[in-house]
Amino acid sequence: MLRREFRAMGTDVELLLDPAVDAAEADAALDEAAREIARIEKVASRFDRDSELSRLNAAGTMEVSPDLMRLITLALQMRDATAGRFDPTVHAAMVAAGYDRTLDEVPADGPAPGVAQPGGGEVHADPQQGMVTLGMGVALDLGGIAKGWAADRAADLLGMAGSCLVSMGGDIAVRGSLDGEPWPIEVQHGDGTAVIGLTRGGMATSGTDRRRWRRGGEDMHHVIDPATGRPSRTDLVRVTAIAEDAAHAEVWATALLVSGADAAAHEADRMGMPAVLVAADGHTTSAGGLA
Amino acid sequence: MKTTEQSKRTVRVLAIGGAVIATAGMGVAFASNPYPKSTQPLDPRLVALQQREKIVAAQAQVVNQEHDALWREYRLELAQRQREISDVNAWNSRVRATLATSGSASQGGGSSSSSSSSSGASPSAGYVYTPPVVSSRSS
Repeated sequence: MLRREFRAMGTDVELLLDPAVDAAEADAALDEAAREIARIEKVASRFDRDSELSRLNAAGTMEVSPDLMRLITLALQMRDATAGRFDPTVHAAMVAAGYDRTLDEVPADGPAPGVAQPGGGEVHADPQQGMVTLGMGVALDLGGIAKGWAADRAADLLGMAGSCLVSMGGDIAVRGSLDGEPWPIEVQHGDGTAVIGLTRGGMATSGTDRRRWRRGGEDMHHVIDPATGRPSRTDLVRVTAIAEDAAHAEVWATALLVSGADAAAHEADRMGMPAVLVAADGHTTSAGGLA
Repeated sequence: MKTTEQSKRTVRVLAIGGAVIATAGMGVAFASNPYPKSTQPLDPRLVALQQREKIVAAQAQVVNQEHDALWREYRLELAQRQREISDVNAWNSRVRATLATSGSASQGGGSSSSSSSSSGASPSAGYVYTPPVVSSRSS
């Protein structure tokens, strides 16, 4: 299997490609996929002051590129689909919780968090005019969807060369099979690991048990509950979701995590969305038909 | 008379020699700096032409960028469409396989409960026992 690894969008990127692909074609396809990820980072990063998203957040209203328009439109659709459990307007809440720089740079401890700022911010996106207007005091954080979206886009390009898998720090998109078999992907259970075979679509994991820090003696993490504007507090510590693509999987992993174990299992079953739910006590539930 | 004639010849030779030296000197001077810079302002038409050239070059760059973006979009949409077609084909294959299995089971008079009637609705993911190639962790 052909593999390329690098850092982008604040995480480890892995590109895997069918070894049967001609070497020159494979190199070109891997290059193109890597360029696409770098390009999306330049569009959607909130930590890069020159990114298009940062300029939109600073300006409040702006004509945006088709890429950013699609990403924002999808994020708003997913806010509706998840009944607000995923929300791209939690930027202020993220900053208030101390997540105002890349996770690698967030200090382990610090003063008490700022005032909680729930989501539900006003965003008007007009695809016809290419204009996005943010409500007063609203800024966007696409961190809960952009990596999955980038994985999908890179996989679309890489997939033209052959079967492939793209992992953006665990947000995974696959195209085609691995020698006729599903791509085996490791997921964490409460008491160890398991391997899930994925034949199509995307998989993502959202968790509160990694990348934690403290503010004013309070534990913080990066999964914000838009309803409270504070880091999510439920009986789940980790959710892996499998959906039609990585962007949807990433969003649903967060939405199910915020829901709590019972509601998440019920919803995954109702939607037929394969999911692994890991509770704080280690109890692990496979839902949504996953077996 | 003879002396006067000689003097005239000498003067003529000297004049010709001087002219040759002067011509050679001018040639050397011109060769070393054939187009001396004019202190006169440039022709405004030339300036306008140069500005126009810069503008056209910038516009060409923008057009190339837009072309690249459109080409990329086309390729992405093509890939998505191919994926959809592949999904439909896979679905059709599963349905055909299910129907074929059901048909042979009923023809043979056996129980249809053992047929893969659920294959059409099988999830795209399931637990396997092969070594993983990557890990999905909290990103």
